Amino acid sequence: MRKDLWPLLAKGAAGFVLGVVLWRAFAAPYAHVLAAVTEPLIRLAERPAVTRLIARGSEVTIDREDFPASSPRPALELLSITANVILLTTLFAVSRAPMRDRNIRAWLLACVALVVVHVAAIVLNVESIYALRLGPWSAAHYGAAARNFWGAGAHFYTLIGSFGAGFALWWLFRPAE
Amino acid sequence: MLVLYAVIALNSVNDAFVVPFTAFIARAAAALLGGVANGIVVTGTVMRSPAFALDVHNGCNGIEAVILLVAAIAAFPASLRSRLLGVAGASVAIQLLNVVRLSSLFWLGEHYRSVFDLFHVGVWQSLIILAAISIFIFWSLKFAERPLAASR
Repeated sequence: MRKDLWPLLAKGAAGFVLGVVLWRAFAAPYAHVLAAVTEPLIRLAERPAVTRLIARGSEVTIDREDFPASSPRPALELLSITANVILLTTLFAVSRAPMRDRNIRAWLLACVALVVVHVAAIVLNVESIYALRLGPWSAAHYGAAARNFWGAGAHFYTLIGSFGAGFALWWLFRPAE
Repeated sequence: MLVLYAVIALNSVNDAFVVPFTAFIARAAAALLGGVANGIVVTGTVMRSPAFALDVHNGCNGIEAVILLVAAIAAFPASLRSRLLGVAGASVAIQLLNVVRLSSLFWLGEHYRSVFDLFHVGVWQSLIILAAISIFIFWSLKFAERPLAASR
């Protein structure tokens, strides 16, 4: 057994706990940031631009100005989209010198890149809801190819993309040891 | 990884392999809980007791972690035998851990519903992926032709 196994596990456990705390503690304010950044991107591709993302707690409610006022609005729980920050933080924590400036800078840069991943994931999920979950409205506004594309994209992120992105960002940004 | 994802995303593969496998995992998790809980009934992929029910979906059956591992092992320089051993051993280890995960989630859902989401979405998902990464690093150090540490 490697003699540095226990320190490694301790660092991993500390990083894991830090990741969970960051993920939960900043869920609500981060949902506001993600909604504010993602909404204009979705509206950019819309004619007319009608989507509104309203953050409530860790959830984003999807509203459209052309929905009937009495219709229920779909919502997106962001905790499952953002949970990969736990993996990313844990992986940076198990580096040889986790508190070294270079490692912390790399972790912060990876976190910024992760925001881009989260924005892309929200776009995928909102479009997937539009394409697949609004019954006749979805069928009228999205063709078969678009329905498959957005549905498969959101499904891929849920199954593999989320944690795959966390791992890939650690691999890309980790300082050489 | 994309190819494996595309394979399991096919409806025919999902119906013929993924759903029956998920049902098997649900039964294994219920059997593991048999010692500490009574009255758990499994119907297909749904575990149910008088107080709680859990439907095991794609993403909760451990297949995504196995896909990540298989992709990593396949991409790493090693003999075919080492790769096959790695894939087989890693898949069994991940699925055993996943059965523990589902059992504990069901138990938490029955007794501590307020923390169920925290463990379901955050803690256990991350632990499974971290276990997959740890298994890969162990395999690469022990069995692969070129240890991971020397690959940079």
